[in-house]
Amino acid sequence: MNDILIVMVKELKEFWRARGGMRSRLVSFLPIFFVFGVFWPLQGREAWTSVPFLPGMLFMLLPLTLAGSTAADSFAGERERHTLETLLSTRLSDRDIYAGKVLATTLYCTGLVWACALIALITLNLTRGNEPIFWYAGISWLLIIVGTLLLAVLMTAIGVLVSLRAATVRAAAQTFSLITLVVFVGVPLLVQFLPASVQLALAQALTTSDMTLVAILAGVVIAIADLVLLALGTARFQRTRLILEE
Amino acid sequence: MVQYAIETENMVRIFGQVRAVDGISMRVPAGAIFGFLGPNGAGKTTTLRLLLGLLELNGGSARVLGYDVATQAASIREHTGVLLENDGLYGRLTVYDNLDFMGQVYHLPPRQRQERIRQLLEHLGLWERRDADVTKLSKGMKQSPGHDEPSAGLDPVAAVALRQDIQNLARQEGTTVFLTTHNLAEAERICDLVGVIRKGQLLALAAPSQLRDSTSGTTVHFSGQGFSQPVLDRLCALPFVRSATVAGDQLQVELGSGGAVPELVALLVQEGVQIDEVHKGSGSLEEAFVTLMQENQERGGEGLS
Repeated sequence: MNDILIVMVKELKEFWRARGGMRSRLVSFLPIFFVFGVFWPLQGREAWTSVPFLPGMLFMLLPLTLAGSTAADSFAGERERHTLETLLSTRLSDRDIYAGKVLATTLYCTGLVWACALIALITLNLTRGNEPIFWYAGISWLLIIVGTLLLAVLMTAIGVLVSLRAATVRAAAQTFSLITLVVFVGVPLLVQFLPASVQLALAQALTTSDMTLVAILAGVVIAIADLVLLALGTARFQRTRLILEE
Repeated sequence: MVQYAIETENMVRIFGQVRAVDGISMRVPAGAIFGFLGPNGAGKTTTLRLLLGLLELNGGSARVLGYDVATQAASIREHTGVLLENDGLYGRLTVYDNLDFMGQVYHLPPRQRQERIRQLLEHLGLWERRDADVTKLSKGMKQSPGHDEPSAGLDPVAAVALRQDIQNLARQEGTTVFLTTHNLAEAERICDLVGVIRKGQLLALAAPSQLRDSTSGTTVHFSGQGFSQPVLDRLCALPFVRSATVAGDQLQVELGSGGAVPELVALLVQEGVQIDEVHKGSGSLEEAFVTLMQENQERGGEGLS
């Protein structure tokens, strides 16, 4: 466990310092905090406070967009910056390096989500005047804490598998974007080609179902996918293979 | 402590149709500075990767510090430190953080780690730059902690200091140093033992001085009068003389194996040559290296058996 933490801390330091000096780092995070923590909550204040699952759903966009590129930077970046072989030549095991990197990427993305969720909560309460204190609904907390974590692991695991085959960060990011595009745009497009009766049944099921139950079911599916992809990644992350791809 | 830090027996690694490492057998004594020399693509890096267990053997066996590369690679990496072609430094981390990370990886306790880093950076004159990003350092500064071309890019004073550090590692701490380099002059200065590799085969394994003598022979320089053509012809007729050349009052004779200087002097005196000065020397390691490469090419690429 200690070795995993050593790699994780190194990765987190690299993510943090990748953005240059302290001012550049703060400036690069400001747009994320502003959009997720201030702009959206203020713009859709009514919906944010009345639709129980909305804040949680919106925060899930962050790992969806960030985890893949962060994983690419961690895995393909190590190869691109010529530090991979030195790392593989140390006493660290393949599994510890892999786990440390995955953990760092996941923590980085979920940490940002949790920070944004906290800022949004402060923003919403500061603008409520004399109304009682607003608190996210249970379903949103579930999505913010567990949902984003599961999604971050999923996107990281996909990002890692893509990065292990890519020579550069850019190549990995491009492939990852393509996969994301196919999954998140292609699947809804495919639904358009389903018979009208099936589409109607799907829509009815989604609108009438208990959203908490839907979220839990989706969480279970994502968790299973996480385990499968992490196992694949662990099997694929072998120094004897990685060295040959250097 | 093991007698040999590195022991290989007919080590083979094949990539497709290419035998990148082709039956290398060698023994490197513990505590030695070993220079592994060879042209680009000779198999130096592949050998190093095999010894670290980063690549699997296709044949033969190898042990590093007594551990088998096929079954105990993790133990080998536990007890070795490597700096490969690239400096391997994390450009986004500070000088201190880079060393701190490696110290943590090798489980140095925090206090000991801090002391060691301070000691090392002060010694290298980098303590004041400890919080600087590695990318802000000059090429020479980045190479200070070590490299597979250790002194390339360093000023002469820093290069001497680095060579001294490498020698201290071996002499004072008993560390075995495996150095892959193109810099033959450097290898000649600091290595106790050198191995020459070409096309995956080990051509020679000897101390630099032995290698110089065995391949480039001995050169004898004479100063004096009377170096005429008949004298040169007599010299060249001797079985142990490879060549003899005259430039003014200077005669240079290249001796092959079995050549004896007294015999040469006696012959010249007998021929009426007036000798003012005699100087015996060996060729450089560079000359020996080139000779080995040429001989190997002429033989059709046969390595050491």
